[in-house]
Amino acid sequence: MSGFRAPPRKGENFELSADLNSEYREKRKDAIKKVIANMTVQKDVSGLFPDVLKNMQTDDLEQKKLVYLYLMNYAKTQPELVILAVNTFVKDTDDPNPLVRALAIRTMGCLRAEKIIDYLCDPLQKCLRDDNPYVRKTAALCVAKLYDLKPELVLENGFLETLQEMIADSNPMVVANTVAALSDIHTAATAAGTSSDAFQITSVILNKLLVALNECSEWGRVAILNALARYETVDEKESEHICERVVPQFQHANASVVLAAVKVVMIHMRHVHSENLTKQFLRKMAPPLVTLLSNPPEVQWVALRNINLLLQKRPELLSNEMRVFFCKYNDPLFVKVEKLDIMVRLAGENNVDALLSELKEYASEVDVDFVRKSIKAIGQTAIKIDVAAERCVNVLLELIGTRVSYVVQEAVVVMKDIFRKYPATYEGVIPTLCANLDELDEPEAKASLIWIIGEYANKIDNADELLSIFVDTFTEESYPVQLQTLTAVVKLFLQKPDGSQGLVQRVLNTATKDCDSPDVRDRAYIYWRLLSTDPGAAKAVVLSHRPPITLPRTTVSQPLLEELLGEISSLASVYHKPAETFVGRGRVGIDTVQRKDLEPADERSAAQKALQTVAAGQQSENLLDFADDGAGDGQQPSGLAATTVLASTPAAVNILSGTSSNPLDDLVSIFGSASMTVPSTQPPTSATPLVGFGFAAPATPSVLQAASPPVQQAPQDDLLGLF
Amino acid sequence: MISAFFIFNQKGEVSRLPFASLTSDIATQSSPVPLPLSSRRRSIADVFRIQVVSNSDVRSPIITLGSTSFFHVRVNNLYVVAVTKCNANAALVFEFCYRFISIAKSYFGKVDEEAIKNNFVLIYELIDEINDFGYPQNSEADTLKTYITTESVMSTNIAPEESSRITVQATGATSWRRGDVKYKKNEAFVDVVETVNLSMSAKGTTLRADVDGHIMMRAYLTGTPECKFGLNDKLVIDKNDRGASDAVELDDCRFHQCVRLTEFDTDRTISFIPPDGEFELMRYRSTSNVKLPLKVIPSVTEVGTTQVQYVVTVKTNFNNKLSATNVVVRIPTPLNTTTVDCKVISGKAKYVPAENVVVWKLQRIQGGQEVTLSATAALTSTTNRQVWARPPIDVDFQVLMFTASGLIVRFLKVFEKSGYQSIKWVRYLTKASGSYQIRTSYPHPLAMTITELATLELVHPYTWDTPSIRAFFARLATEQAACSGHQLFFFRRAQSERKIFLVSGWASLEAHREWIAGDKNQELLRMADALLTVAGLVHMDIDFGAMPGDTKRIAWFAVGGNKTDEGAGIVWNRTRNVPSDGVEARARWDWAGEGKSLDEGGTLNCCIRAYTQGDTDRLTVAGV
Repeated sequence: MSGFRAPPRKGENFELSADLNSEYREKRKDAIKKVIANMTVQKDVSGLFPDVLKNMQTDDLEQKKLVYLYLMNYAKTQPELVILAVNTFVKDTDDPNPLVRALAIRTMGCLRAEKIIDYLCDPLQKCLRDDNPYVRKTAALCVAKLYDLKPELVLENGFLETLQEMIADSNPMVVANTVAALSDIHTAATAAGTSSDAFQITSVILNKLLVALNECSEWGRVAILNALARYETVDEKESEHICERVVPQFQHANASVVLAAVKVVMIHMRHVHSENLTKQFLRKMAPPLVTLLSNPPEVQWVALRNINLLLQKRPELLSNEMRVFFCKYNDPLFVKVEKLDIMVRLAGENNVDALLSELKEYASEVDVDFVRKSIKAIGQTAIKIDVAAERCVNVLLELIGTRVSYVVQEAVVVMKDIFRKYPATYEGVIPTLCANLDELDEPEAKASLIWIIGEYANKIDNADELLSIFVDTFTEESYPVQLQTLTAVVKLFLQKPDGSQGLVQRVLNTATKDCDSPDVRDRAYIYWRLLSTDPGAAKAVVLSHRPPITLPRTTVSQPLLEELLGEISSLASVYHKPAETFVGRGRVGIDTVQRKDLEPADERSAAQKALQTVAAGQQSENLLDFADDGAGDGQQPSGLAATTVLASTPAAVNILSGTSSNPLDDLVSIFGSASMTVPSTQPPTSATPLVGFGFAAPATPSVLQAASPPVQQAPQDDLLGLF
Repeated sequence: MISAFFIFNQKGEVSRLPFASLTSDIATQSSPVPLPLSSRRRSIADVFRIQVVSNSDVRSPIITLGSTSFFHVRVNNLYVVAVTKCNANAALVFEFCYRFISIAKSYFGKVDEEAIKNNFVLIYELIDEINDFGYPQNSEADTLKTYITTESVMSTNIAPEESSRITVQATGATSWRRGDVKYKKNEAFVDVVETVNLSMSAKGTTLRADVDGHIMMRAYLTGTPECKFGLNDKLVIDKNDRGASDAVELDDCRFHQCVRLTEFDTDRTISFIPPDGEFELMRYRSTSNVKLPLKVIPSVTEVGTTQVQYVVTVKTNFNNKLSATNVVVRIPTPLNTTTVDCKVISGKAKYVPAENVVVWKLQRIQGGQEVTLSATAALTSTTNRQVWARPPIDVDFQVLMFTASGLIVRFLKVFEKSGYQSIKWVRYLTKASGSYQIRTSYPHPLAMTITELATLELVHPYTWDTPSIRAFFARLATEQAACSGHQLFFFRRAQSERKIFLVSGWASLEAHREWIAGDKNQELLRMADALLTVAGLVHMDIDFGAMPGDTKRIAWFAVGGNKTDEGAGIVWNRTRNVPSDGVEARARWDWAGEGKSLDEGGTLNCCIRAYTQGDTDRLTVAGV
């Protein structure tokens, strides 16, 4: 018994440390497994670094892997000790077993410790020229890892040139990984702002890629197809050639290969002028796209979002395939919503009946969001297909008959759009709508119904009675409802002056005196002045002809669409937003998107511009700041919102662009010019009818937009709407 | 590409650390203040947990927070999560997640929390192998198994040549097949498995019928065999060059990576060097000329508000030498179902309250046969009816040696340099699981019913007890209930025994008008001519379905209205009309409904009160 004892050291780590130094191999290995298990559940085992390291030199491949795994996790916290591992690593890269060589070079690239990197270059040089393709393909990716850490080392050691030579490798997987590595480096270099010629695809390389495409693994095909997408063809013939070689990939079992192939064909088809050939490519593309719907729901969703984009560019692509997009009862919601959108896109005179009975079915489902979207889809169908409008209205009436609150409200909003598109056609519906007045509690629905009442004030006998209900509660209503009430009462007064004078007096009084929204007050003042000075002018302004609305063929601007089609299957194409809005080091606000939206130039310069913005914003804000994400996030639709917000983004942009033009000039000119008839010479720079109050006005992200810029037809409305 | 890879259970646990932090960006450029590595990583896991795992309303499989995107796939209560920080290839990331799941399945047999926890070391190894720096690598389970095994491998035990061979093969042009496969008996099994998706409307029109076909192959062949595969002569693979109408048309097909796509593209031959063992050779889709193996004819009738009657007939639609096996018909019932009484001649049917379905299981239905189930579901009367999604009837089944698309394998040729003979077997199976759906028509679940109140005056000298009157009301109650789906209540006015009040529900005013104009009602009216007169009739937007079934007495009030309800000769006391006198004073009502009258010209505000206690004024009608 020695009376001399070290203070009792206890705990799991202590025991593990003892086991790691055990003389029995099995015991040591078990200990390593336990260490890794603890690491997985986030227990701190970094203190065992030296003990684990001792077990690195072993013939047991599994044990080696485990130690490497441990190293990858803790190398950064123990930079001093990592150096001890270098020797073994370098030795391993000379091992006769190719698996060991590859493992060593792969792990070294992942350690991310400064000290190791300097020792990486020589073994890497060797491994890039290894006899074994497995080692070469691993080494190829290691160059990309090295570039990520220390780009200058890659340049100094000529690794780039080596990689470029390796594109000619006899082994397809080596070629695929080389392509992946070069693309990765190219992207990193471009993002860093240095103009990079790391991966210039020449026609020689092109041929090699096309050969490798048919031989390599599915993932390799994606990498190669992505590279092909970047290639700039010299002439039409080459574009045709690429498309023809890529088309067979449509038959691949892996959805990402199919979508990558679609992307390549869509890009290079731009240069193919032969109508026949284009048709042939599209014809071959359609069935595989439909087949993507038999994938798991997540993949389906990605496919649907992309099909949506493709249809915006090529509406004829899937013209006979609407039925396959019918929702299944057990489809997840996100898939159903996407399918709805596509069904409306594919709707035509020949299939509208099937579509309507489907939509009616959906409108009786349980999920409120989906039901609302289905009703919206009915409205969109009515606006898209003239001959079906009546059938749509009948379906809507049936739905209103259910008297389910949210169904009725959504239907009212949709009816408003139908009235805009087909003025004075469905007046018979108005009594039914008015009968539901009491059930409406959402501002948008209320505003829509008020708009309808105002619009048809001369045909509704008791319009004054109905409107006076809203005037009574004027101050309690939300602003959109107040604005609509105001306009509707004025419309009523202009159409039926006798009897409604009191009402208009009352509403103007309330709006100017008791209302706390400047928009409402300003509008009331303008009306007041218009009415008191020149009722004729008031008539011209308030009752002016409204531009017709149509269903926009695209939901994104043309240049953006082109760019997104060049990125099919990427996150950007899923979100229908340029990548700069959700990746990169600086956030790009809505104004950048807007600028891009208005960008008349081709997509290349747009992309360039966006990249510059990204570079400029580099310092501005840091990312992945989960802790303090909230504040600066106002404009950046994040998370779940990112998908749902999409629909509203264009509207938001429009509103912004509307307010950005100088409304004062226009205002002055309105009051300055004696005759208010048609000041069509004024070019209000904004062209969005959504803000105009005389329109479909509740300024909501309605999907409907005026077909043509309303500059000529009704500038006044627009101008007033700016307030 | 993929920056990190996590697996979570429902509580958001399992791997707090990413199973693989594949690229640097997650670990480094994350925070302005350098945090210890471990805490930063944990926070990414935490973010996902908060945003997805503990959020009951996730509406997208991808979420992007800041510039970090989380892709998730659910399997057996586990979340497989891939994290990226760039404009990643979304399809590829999801395909990779599913590939990981299928590899895990082939290694562990199942993918659940237990399997993951017991095999985390192997999973680390696997992910390390199938993904390098975020780029997916070789992910063929068959090849992976040659060098990543559950037993530990001594590097000295494997000759370097052996592992060279493995690695060359793993990266080669036929990365899916080892070169040294040897079998005593060379056999190849081909399974054509077709899954039929059907969506049929309540009226029996096919909304969508298509076939998802899989051709599975199990190849036990020596060496590096070259295979050629042939399908029906009349097969039309490109829909646009249509052949004869009876030809089998495939809309599209997709192949295992071993099939030479360029050859298929040029001359439609399917040639390949198969992987060893089982694999999916081909997947196809067909939408034309789909032969539906089973026909399901449902009939659903609501009797009043307390009963739903089902008659479901299943007919087979194939040759009587074949048979459908493991047939499971699932018939959904309303949410307020209490019991279901099922009658079947073949199979077993029972009500599963937890899922609100009647499950009818049949071991076998021979071709040409027809089976029927009849069932009656009893419903509780609820005042607030829950919204019910009306799921469709769903049928699962299997039919051996039958293809819904009509596809037939004509030949499978195997060429190998040693020139051996091989035996080939072909099997066909058509099945449905969860996607053979027949919609049923119910009254609109969201629709509130309206209430009809009619005052009938019996002609002197008839009273309620007169047999002919009784018989008339019995017939009226049966026939109108069959039409409207609502029970009829009759009440007598205490002081005048010739006044009868009829209260019932209708889906809408139009529905009642249709009935009034209908033949059956006209006949009833002719009968009634001598017996009674209709003294008054009013429709109100009061939900009749909510009225208690055991109402003993009612009171009716109407207030307002400037215009008279002329035309129908309605005589109502506008301000107050109490069909059962004085009840109000005696008891509190148990249910009240208020609403406007719906009849033209009428703008009455009406109120019905129902009393379920005390004396009864309710008249019972025989036969109902």
